[in-house]
Amino acid sequence: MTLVHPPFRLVFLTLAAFSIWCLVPIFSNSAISPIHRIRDQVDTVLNAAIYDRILPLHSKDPLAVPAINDLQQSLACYIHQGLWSARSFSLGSLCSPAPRKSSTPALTLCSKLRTKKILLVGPESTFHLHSLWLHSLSQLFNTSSKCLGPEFCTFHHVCLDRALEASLSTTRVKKFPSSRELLTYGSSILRFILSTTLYASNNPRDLVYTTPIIDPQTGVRTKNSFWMNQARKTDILVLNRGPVPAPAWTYSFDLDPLAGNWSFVDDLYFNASTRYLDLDKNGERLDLSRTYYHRYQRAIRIINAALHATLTIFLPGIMDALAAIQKNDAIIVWHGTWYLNPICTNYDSPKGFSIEPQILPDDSSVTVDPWTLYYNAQGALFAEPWSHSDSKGLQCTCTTICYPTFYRILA
Amino acid sequence: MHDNLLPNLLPHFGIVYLPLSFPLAPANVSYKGTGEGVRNLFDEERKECIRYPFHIPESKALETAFLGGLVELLEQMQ
Repeated sequence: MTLVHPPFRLVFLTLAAFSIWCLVPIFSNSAISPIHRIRDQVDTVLNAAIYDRILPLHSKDPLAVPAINDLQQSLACYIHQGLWSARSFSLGSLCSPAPRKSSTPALTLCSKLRTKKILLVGPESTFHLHSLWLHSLSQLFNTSSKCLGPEFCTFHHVCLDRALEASLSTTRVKKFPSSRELLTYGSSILRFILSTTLYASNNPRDLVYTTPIIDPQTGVRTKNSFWMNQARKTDILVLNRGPVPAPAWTYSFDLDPLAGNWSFVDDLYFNASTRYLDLDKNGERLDLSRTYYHRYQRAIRIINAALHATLTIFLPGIMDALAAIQKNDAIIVWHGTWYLNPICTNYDSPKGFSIEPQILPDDSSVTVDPWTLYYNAQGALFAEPWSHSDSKGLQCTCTTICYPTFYRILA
Repeated sequence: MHDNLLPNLLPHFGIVYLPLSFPLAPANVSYKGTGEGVRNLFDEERKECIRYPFHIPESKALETAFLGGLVELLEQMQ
């Protein structure tokens, strides 16, 4: 079934025209801030990529797409509208439906996931979430949160109190609990499988799983374990593929002892086929000092490279995995990435370390190094429209109004 | 970019996207003390800047975003 039925073509053309109408003022308004100008250009490129990918798709369950979209809107609101108060963070309370006021979400999950098997598959950051979950449970149940590490994680029998856990593990070998035991104890299974690229083969002896692989595009080693078999047996599957790492050669300090070698971002920017962004689009030069302008150009080139990595490595790379799990009956969740905090990455940096102008909108006083900018730009840097909305709730940009609505209609 | 791209793509595969890009903590949360005694909390037991030590506020925020987000997701799917 094709996603564009004849009756929707008129809708499509109308919405496309509206999208262009929306974008005209963005590019013609010279007063618009550089961050918004970059974000709009990034949005335009991403939306085109989404459009190309989604149109040929046969949705797993077309009727479910609008419901998932609504759920995602709520989740995005909880996270992006979340507030820091004193030293703690809480989910956006003005979102609809209002989030539960739970100070111990791990405990709530125990009751919701009773007898269920939960599998997390992804890179080290996903392993960290698994560790965070175990740590939270260990505080609640006074149990161990020990794990052998991302490459050797077997399983964790969770939501058990300490006495029961001790009585069940009388030998050194941990026995995988049966469904009956999970039912009896009201417990769950939590496990993690390391996969940096979500490579999805049905053959456990596939070379990608059994030999060390260096990604030729980045020079960075990928680590992939066989996960498809476990994914079929799980009730909840949590997935992630992280941002594409900066090429290994950026850490070469021969040319510049402080800033590394970022010449590849210049190569991409000066090649017309890989230049997606332009700060001086329409011939408007921003009113910035020469030094600042130079740094800004550098930041643009890094963001341009991040966009290139997203379109040419990340997106094609996940499509196979998505197709492979399409028949899975589990609840499948993809967790996003979180920001590298410049306060952390700047700490103890060598004096004179190369910095880019701060592009994160929250705090213009903090600078950021190129590696952090490259990582953050791929993850969430340009999905900020929610975070600046007022207390009345969500405030959508032109793009967020146009496109999700558009795809919902197609679905 | 993932936060823009994936929510549009994943629902067609029956997958829900849970963003974790919660706002950065204000600087006064990430630093402790004042004047010369100021301490960057990230430095304590830091592995790198993706895996925060469990006890610092950013780690608690990540726990709230991830586990709290899962709770809300399951609640709304019921």
